[in-house]
Amino acid sequence: MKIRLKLSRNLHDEITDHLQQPHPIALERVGFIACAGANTDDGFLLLGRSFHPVHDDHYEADTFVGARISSRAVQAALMIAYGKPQSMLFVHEHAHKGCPGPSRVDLDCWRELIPNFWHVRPELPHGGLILSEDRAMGLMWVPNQTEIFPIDDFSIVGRHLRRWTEEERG
Amino acid sequence: MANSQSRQSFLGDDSEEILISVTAGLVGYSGGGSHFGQQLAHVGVGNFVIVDPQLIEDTNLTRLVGGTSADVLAQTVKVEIAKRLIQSVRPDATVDIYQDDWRNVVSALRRSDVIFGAVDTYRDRNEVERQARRSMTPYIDIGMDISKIGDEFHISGQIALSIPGGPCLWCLGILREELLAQEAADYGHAGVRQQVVWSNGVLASTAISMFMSLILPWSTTPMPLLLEYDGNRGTVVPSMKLQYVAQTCPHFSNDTDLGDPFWKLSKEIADGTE
Repeated sequence: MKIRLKLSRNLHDEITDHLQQPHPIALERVGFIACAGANTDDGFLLLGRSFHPVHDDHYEADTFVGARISSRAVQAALMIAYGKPQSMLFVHEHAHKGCPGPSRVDLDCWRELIPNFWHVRPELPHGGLILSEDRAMGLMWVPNQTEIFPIDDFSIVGRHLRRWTEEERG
Repeated sequence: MANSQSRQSFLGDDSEEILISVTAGLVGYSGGGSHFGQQLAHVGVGNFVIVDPQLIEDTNLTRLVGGTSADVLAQTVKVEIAKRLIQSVRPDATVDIYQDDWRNVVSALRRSDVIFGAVDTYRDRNEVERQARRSMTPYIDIGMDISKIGDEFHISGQIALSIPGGPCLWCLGILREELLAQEAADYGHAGVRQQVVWSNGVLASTAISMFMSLILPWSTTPMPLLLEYDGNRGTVVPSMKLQYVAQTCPHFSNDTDLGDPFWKLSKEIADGTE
């Protein structure tokens, strides 16, 4: 199964502009990308539709990881998926060039958070995404699949079509 | 970079890898589409999805690049000629061909990074672009017209790049309600459309330069989104229309214009069998 993610240049810039802003207590800002989708003959396509940053007040201090998002942030994201059939990607940024990799904290967070979207959109895949300064990586939780799948292809669509593949990670 | 790419090394150190990883969708493989296939193979594109329902006929020999008189005798499928030509240049290229109406292979076309359209009708142009926008795929369209004005024939054409978020073929004036209505009214009575290989070549070559500037922006000067061809004068110039076109498209600006509005995972995925 091949999974492709496309973001418009405008949406990508909106996301990175927000994620790069400092936060009073959190080291990293986070948000959610709502995606339309379509099947391909070898998997499916995710198409970034809108970005929903986690509100400043929806971060809370955490003794283990410094700060984490509150239940209100999760509820707000669930409402977005509830209101319209769309896949949700939980996104944050790692401030470096090259392929980013999820930390153990990232993976633990995704495993806890992502399946919650199946309470409101059980029929659709949802996932986690990490942007770097010039690349991205993502993992998808797909209904009825025990395996977690990587996003294979990424495209930023604008006057310059920038694309790269998961294979580049090597 | 391989030595074979040295004559286009100005495109960048990683241009070869980028081109190999790109998937080009070709809708229509005849006068225009065959130039696309040939040139995309030569520049080094690695993956193709090519759709055309027809067999080659003797009237195609004047303009279908790669088609032979033996193909006419054998009634070769046009997309088979595409695959043969592309893989004669790039044996490693993945060339997925469909002898079908493109509407039946939309799920394959969605794999495309860029879709090239060389279709005959406004209806097809409209619908191919709509599908391309739904999958957030840049669409490059060429069109040619040979008309008789007075005693003289005039060859004209256009090359358009429709980038999601930017002006579409409606914004650029290539698609208009009256053209679609006129075409629908003339259905079955349009007669034989005049086409010539050299004009198709100019249009397709210009389209390939648009494609290259899209995926490998080797020049800081962006290509205009609409170029107009005058086949009598032998000129290709940016369209005057561009001065009056809004840079954001009002025709595909709704949330519902993206993706499959009734998206459900395929049965294989939904059942957990893939």
